[in-house]
Amino acid sequence: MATDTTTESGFGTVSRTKGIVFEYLTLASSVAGILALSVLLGYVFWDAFGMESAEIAWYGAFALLVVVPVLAFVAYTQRNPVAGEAALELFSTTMGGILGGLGTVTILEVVTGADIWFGYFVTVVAPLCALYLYGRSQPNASWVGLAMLGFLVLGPPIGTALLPITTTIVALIGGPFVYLFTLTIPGALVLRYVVEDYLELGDGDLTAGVMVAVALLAVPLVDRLPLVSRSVWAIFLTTLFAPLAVVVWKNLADRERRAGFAGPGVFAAGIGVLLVVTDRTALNGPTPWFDWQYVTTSPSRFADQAGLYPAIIGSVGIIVLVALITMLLGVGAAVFLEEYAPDSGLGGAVARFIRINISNLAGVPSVVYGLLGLAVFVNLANLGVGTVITAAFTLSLLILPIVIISAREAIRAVPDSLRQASYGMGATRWQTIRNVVLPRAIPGILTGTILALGRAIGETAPLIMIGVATTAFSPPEGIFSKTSAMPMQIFAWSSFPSQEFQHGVVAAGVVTLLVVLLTMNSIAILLRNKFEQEEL
Amino acid sequence: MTQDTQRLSDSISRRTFIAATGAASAAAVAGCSEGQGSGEATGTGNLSGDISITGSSTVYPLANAVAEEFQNMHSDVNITVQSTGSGGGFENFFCPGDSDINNASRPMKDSEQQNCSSNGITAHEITVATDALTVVINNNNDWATEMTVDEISQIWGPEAGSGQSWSDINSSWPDEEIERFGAAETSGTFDYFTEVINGEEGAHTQAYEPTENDRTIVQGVQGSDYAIGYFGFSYYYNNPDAVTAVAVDDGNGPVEPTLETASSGEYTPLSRPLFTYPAMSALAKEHIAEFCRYFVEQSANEELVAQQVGYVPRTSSQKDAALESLNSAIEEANSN
Amino acid sequence: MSNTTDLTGDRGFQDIRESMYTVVFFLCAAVSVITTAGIIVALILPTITFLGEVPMSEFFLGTQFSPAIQPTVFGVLPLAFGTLLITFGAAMVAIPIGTLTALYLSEYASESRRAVLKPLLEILAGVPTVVYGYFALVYVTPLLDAIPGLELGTFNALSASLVMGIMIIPMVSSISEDSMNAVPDSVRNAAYGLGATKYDVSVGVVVPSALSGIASSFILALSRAIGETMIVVVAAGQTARFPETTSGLLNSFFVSTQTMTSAMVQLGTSDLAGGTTAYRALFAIGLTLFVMTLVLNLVSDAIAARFREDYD
Repeated sequence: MATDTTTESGFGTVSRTKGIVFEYLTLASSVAGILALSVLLGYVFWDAFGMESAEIAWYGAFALLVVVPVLAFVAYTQRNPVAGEAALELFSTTMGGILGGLGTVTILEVVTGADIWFGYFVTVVAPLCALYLYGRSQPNASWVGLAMLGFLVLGPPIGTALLPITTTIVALIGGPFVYLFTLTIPGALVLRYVVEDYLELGDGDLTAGVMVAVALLAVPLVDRLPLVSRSVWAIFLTTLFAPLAVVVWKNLADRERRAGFAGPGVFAAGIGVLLVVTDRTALNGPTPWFDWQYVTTSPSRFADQAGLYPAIIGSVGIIVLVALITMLLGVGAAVFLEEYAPDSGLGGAVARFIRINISNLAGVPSVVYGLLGLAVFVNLANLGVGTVITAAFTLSLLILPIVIISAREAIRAVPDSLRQASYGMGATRWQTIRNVVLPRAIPGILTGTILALGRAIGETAPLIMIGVATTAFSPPEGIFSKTSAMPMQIFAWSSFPSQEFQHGVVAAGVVTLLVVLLTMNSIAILLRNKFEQEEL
Repeated sequence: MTQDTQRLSDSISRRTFIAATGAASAAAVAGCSEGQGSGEATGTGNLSGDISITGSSTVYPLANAVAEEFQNMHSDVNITVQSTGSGGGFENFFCPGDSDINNASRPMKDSEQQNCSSNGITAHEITVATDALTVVINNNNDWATEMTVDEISQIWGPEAGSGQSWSDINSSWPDEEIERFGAAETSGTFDYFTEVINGEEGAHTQAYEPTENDRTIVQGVQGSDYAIGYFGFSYYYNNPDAVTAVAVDDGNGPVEPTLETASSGEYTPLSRPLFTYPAMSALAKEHIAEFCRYFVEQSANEELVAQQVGYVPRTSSQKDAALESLNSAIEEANSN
Repeated sequence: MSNTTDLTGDRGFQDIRESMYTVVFFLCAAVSVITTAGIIVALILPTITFLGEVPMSEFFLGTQFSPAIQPTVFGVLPLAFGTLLITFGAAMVAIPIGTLTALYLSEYASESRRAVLKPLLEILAGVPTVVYGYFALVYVTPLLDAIPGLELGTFNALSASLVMGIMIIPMVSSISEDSMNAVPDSVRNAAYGLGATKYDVSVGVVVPSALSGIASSFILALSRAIGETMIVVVAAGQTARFPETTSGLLNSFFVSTQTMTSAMVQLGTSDLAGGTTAYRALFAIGLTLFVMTLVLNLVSDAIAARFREDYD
């Protein structure tokens, strides 16, 4: 008996050890890939920021002033997740605002110009927004959606026809005023709604008034700043400063979220003190490749003068177009498949075929999409080799399956009971979609689209096939202008043999690309968190 | 005190140092162009328009460097440079009218001229530099520092197989297997090398390590005493100590590849001219005409062509002749 | 349904409106079908011309790919070998790690750890492939080369397949985890009831039950690896090789290799003139690649459909 027990417990120990070993093996596997990537990212950031030239004392200061406080904050957010969320909100609003402002400046100032923008704003954008708002306030108006469709189809040709007139108007009133009317004032109206109705922070009219006043009163100050034109000010006020002010206001108003300021606060303060210390003492700091000069100058054969500016603008321009195209087509296709497609009969077979087709398209290698773009957009439609529009269409087709799949998931997540309730009240299918399904699905759709756009912005192989320029010295000047793109420039540089390029310029390019991706992903995560909270 | 000076000199970081030298050489280039310019190439900062350059990957670094300098002077001109290969550039971009200028590492073929003229496009030929293909061996190789074209052809010809040893070429050479590192077969270097050494484009041994990167060839050759490789002049020019260049005997005694022997035409048969082809219709546009003039000016700039890019510059008289021919082509383009 | 009282307008107008929306949305969905048709046509037309110039037996059975060395040979086998070699290497990394990760996430991890690990794993698939290629060329190859006894070329299959393996870990882990989660708890509890340990349940019960989903995730990840371009273009080199003997197989990892995708990029950007046989080879390779990935995706879908049926 006694021996039996020993043997049993012996087996037990063995199998328990095996179980524990196995559990740790699975845990190690889960972090293995992440660790490997972190090491590689560590290398590339090390190179991009030229860390090797810094001396040990500098690292000490860096650890003390930046790393320790930030890690402490991260540890704190484990106990107080609300603060972490507030910090993420501040971070993504700032970065997203910068990125959005850059995208808007690219599209409006560099690519189209204020006159063309004004023309299409008057004939397409403004009517669509006005109709949408009218439709929201009058759910019974049955013609609104159709009218929106009409403006979407007829607006562009009308806008094109009226271009001479709108150009004259813009020449009279000037670019900055165009942005004041088309961006700042609508932005102020959105602000009024957000402050007063959505977040219930305070007086919306006053806030909107303050925003317009700031836009006007800051002009003398803006004029003194080099590099910042009045137009750029109007754009960045709308995309960055106003949203950031609201987010700051909102988080300040909430006692629990106030702690969230500590994260960005200690980070900025740490960097600031570090910069001052490095500057004032004889401490040798790093010599970054990734700096202001790098993101604002053109490529060069001299490593120290090389910059990514034309490629950044090219990529941003392409991605904005891709976002517009895939949002429209992706949501449309998803709505058809989830809401309209019949389950049985011929229509059901067609829908099933489309579904299978989409899931298979998602698996087609990206280089093959390049050949498609070459055949269809370059040779057949004659949109030009390596132009912004060719690249945008090709990348749109590439990510469309991913956008459709995530949009379908978002639409499917809307509870059927809501649809039934809407139908029960006599709403038609379209009214149900517009008033019930889409408003609830939009955050999910946006999250999926942004993640897919992240894939598009890093794609290289299709761009090679459609002949996107390896090197462009100035940013594209229109959608039919030849362009470069960040991954293309990184690819071209990666074959330069010199160490300065391999470990400096390319590393800085990789970091630029990753920063853009990180921003996009953090916005997506923020949206998803918000979405999930509202679901609960 | 001494420590302070030490610190100071330390703090002139890698980047500032490169920046200083880079700026100096850029200034030197600008200085040269003004010194040599006929007066037309400089002073017009108000040019604007797009220039799309395609073509040979061999000429790409040179065109890129010239474009960069031109862009610095004329910020409103928007230049894109794309490395498409000589033939691919003519076929897919230049002849359909999608690019203004196509670079080529060989003269434009008759078939390409016909293809272009059927689209109403004619090209003006400009020689912009000379490339000297360099055959390299390991620094420990003391037997093959001079080779005849025939010997090189035996090593690289279509009949040469794996297992061939140095003694098979010349009985006084060691009985060790030859390791070959050459250009990828889709490159212009490969085309030219096979044509002049083996007498036919594409005639080449299969038993070699093809690569598109000069650094890999150097690494390969450095790695074995019995290795041989070939590539464009630029890498050897910038790293002359890494490997040994073979002096090539084309019947007139062995000639080493240098700037002098290549531009004087002594280094045969492995030196080849590099071209750029602007479309006549493009030359009618002022900013493109100006760019081409600038390109010709720079083709004799030793600082830019040789030291920065690594090709053999044109002589001053060759440059003047090219400029004259270009100017008459521009005139013709404008009169049409 | 249709006899619900309608208060919003007259019926005829509304019917027109509703059917117009149906048409518009259908057109959006139809874009994907047009895309597929476009891909097939764009690939097949040049391929037909190509196969008129190069016999099909040479293309599919030729063990040599030399589009410019006279006489030219267009055998796709060396390229397919390169692709399989690198895919195999990537699978060796991603399949064990991905499967164990899925087991950890579905069987062992606490809810809060899952919440941290899953988005981190997704990042692995989100890094642009040109960046992975750069990592492989500039950091991984020198690191591996420093290992004594390992002679690596500047361009080699090993580092390309290692980073590719890291990239596809989340593809294996997320689908495998979904299928493991789909195994009902009743099955687990039955096993526990018989005295099984957690290890026994994970390996002996959950994995076999989720096998079809796990297999489908493997196939999907392999399909992604086969079509991956930039990692191999930047880091793996451009030498098409076909091993004559099986003994040299391991050695193939240490030298430069050309895959189908990198051959396409090389042909598309090379000195070869457009309109030549070599240029059309690009489309023939593209079509072969398209068919390979399509078949793998369909197989993966079919297997996945089976596992969904198992417990629904």
